[in-house]
Amino acid sequence: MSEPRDFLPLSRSMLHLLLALREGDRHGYAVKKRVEELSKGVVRMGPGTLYATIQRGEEQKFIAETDQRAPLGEDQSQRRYYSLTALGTQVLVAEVERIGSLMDHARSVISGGTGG
Amino acid sequence: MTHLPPLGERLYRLLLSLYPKWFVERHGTRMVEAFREQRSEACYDGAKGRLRFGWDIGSDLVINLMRVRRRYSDTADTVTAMSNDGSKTVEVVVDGMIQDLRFAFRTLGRAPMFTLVAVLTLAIGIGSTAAIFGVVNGVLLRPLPYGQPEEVVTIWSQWIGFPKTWVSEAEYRNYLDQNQSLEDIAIWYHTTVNFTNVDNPERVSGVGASENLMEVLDVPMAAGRFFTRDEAFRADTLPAEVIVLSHEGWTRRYGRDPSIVGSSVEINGRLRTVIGVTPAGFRIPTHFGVDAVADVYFPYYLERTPVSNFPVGGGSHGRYMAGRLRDGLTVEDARRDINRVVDLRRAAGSYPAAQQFNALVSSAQDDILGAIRPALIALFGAVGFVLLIACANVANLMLARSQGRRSELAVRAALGAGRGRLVRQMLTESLVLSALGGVLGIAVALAGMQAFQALDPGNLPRIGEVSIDGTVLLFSIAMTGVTALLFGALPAIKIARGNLKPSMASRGSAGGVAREGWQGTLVALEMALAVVLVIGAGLMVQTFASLVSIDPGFDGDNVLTMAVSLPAASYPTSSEVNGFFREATRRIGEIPGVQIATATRIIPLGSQIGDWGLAVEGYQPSDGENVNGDWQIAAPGYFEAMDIPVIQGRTFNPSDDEEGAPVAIVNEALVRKYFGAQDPIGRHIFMGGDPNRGFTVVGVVGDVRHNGLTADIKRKFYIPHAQWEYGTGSPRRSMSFVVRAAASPEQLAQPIRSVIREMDPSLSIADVRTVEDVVSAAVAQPRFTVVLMGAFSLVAVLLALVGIYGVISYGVSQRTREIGLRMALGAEQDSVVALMVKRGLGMTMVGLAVGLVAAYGLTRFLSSLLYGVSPQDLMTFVTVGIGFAFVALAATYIPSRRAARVDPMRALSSD
Repeated sequence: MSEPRDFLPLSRSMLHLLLALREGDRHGYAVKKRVEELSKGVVRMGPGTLYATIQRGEEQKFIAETDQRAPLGEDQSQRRYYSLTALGTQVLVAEVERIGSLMDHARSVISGGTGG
Repeated sequence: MTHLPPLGERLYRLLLSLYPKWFVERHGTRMVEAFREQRSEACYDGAKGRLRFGWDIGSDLVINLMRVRRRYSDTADTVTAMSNDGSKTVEVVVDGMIQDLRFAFRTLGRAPMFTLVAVLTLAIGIGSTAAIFGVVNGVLLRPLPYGQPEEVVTIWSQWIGFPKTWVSEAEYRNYLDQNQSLEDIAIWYHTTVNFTNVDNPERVSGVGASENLMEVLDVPMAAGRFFTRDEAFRADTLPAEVIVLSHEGWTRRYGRDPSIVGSSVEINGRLRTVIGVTPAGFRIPTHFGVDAVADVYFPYYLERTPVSNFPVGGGSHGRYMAGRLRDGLTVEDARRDINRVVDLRRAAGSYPAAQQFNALVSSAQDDILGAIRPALIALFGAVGFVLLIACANVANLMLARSQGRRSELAVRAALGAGRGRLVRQMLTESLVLSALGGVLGIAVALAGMQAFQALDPGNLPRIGEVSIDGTVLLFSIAMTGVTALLFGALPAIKIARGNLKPSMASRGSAGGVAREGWQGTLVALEMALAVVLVIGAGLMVQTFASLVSIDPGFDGDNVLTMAVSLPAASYPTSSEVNGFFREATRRIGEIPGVQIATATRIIPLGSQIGDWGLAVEGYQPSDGENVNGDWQIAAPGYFEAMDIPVIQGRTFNPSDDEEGAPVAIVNEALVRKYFGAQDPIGRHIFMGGDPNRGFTVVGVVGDVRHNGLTADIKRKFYIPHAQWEYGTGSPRRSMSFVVRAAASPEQLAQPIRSVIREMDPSLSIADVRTVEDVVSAAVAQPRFTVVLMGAFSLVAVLLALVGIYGVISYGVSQRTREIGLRMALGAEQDSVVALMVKRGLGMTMVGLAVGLVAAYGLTRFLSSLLYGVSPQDLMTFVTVGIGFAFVALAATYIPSRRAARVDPMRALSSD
């Protein structure tokens, strides 16, 4: 059984994918919209990036397809919804912690001015 | 066509096929959806937005394609990522490449103008090349739809005045019996038949074929079977009981109803059983490049033993043949073998020496595609030139840019980037540029192919099969890679060779000879290529001009024609046939707007016409000479309607009917040959040499070009329609109405149809067209070549001009200091301009000279496409040479003038 840590660091698009799904199940294009919203347009995911990341996330068992389908009356029969798995949540938490401690370290270096 | 998704989306779908198959199956539709939704986002509005969209999608596609392809490198169905150690090094390299790619996209994105120009230039080059390659691939490279198509040969006859013509039944039986090179030979003829069930009467193209046709061509049936020898034998004496439908006929008439096999259809007034359907795309060798593919096949029976009495001259020629080579034999073997058989016949006196009879044996592939091959190869060459010019232009742009980036590169080198790494970076940039150019180029190719098909290349065989398929896509990708190397290598080599250090210090000073050397060479190359193209196009334009200026011998303006064929079942005798056409032309003549209504056997230039043996009063044929003339049938008013000049005597009138004395009209060529200086009027010609079938010559008319605008004019005689039975023993049931209108003949089509339908609702009408269309179709292929050649050379000239202009402008901007200095030292403005022009003209003149010499060597490959102009036509060379000199002068002068406007003070103070 692999540890969540073994997967770190995550690629930028993977991190954003997991973050977007942390809020709730979404279909592919909604992930993209949400990521762009969260990053205020800095991170843009084209169709290629989006589905390559989703594919990778599924393979690594971070995310899984849900049974959920688009609401009735909407012609979205083709849409697939994805949700975060337990492993995905753990990996996301671990990655955020890793970045957090990296940031802590970086801040202390900058403000503390410790020379080499 | 209207329900197709927009071009961009189609292109995107096409490119998705580069992803692993399983990936596309899993995510493809959603990726296209995401593509569509992203396209509709507000930030991509407008022309600029569209460009940005293309850029974003393009880079997203390429980068992730690399990523996905790497991750699942043993493409198949292994969805698990590979993690074994052996692949680690690969991953490192690929990761480096991805990094390079990202960097390339970023730097190119920062120079949008440069990127735009380079990508567009490449797109034009790659796109037009891919489009023409698609056509070449679909038409020339793809094998014919036969089993082992290289073993299929066609056999035609050839004799004096007939470079390629039909074979006869006697010849078929003779070849079949005597040859030692062919496994078997099939024979067939073309005909037209009427579907006569009243709810959907239609006249369609049919083929009578020997029962072994599908075996010789080695084609399995799509449904049912082909004829048996027994069925063919029975059809020899009675009307055929069984027919085979072509895939086209099956689709068009019966909507691919599988139950059609075994059921009965009514053809020519008789019920016949459909026993099979030929596969999709199947055509007999003579039906490539013609509009009317056979809908119906009939059995056609011939004995397989030699005829006991081989007729002199081979007998009546009107059949086609194809054979299959025996194992291990070549077309050349068959050619020798068949002509050995002909020699035997000649030795037996069957072919008089004067006839110069030969059998023409060629591979089916050459036979079918031989005529179009030179034009397509010439176009392919032309488009390759366009691509080279585009590459040269982009290479120049890259050179100029790398010059401007020398300090950036120097900084990166100083920071430890190895030379190899920088070279790789340059190559990656050129790869990205050409990949984008390639992607856009495929869009250009898609659009180009549609235009190509719309342009109607004039009986181009298999044009319908042309599409962008895997091969074309692969070709485009390969071409993109080669292109990237072609224009990326130069700047990369320069970096690899160059000493980067000094460039940090010296910016904007005179670049030195080396750079101008490279750029000058590229400009000269572009110039040379463009000159060759324009000369080629010039020759084609003159060819086209000479073709359209040929006088066909008639005036088809405002003439409408349509063909009908009366079924023998309901029009058994001559008087019924003649009565129908007399009444029909009378009624059509009463339609308002009709000036003359008449009929003829075959419209000139509409299809080929063959000859009929004759005896001519007062003409003594030399030993073994064939006396004959092309046979044409005309109703009264035909010569007037077609405006064929009467040289002597009179034309046909209504009293030249069954009751009247048999009369004929001959053309000038026949008079020249058989009457010489004697007066032909009042003399007699005898059809088939039969003394009981004599016709009095009452008129001489001008020669008409019937078998093609450039084909030899042959001897011809005209017989009144009503008297045809007297000459041959049976009436002529298939005729074309010829209707001269006061104006806009197309509008008469409907009223004429109504008249015919009133007279006989079961009759089907075919080939409704104006004679003008017929004539225009005769020059469709040269028109097509000239339009494309013209377009390509225009693009070439524009690209070359942009190249020249760009290099001169760049030179001027690089020499600002030098110019400023010269002017500060007192040089006149004029002399500064002259200096720049001189430098520019130097390289263009070298290009011009090289181009003229190259064209002189290359145009002879065009000679088979040319008419009325020599491949080395002096006027064309001189005109193009002078024209180019002026154009090059303008392209150098305009940017050079800017040099004179340099303010010396500012130029010198700039760093």
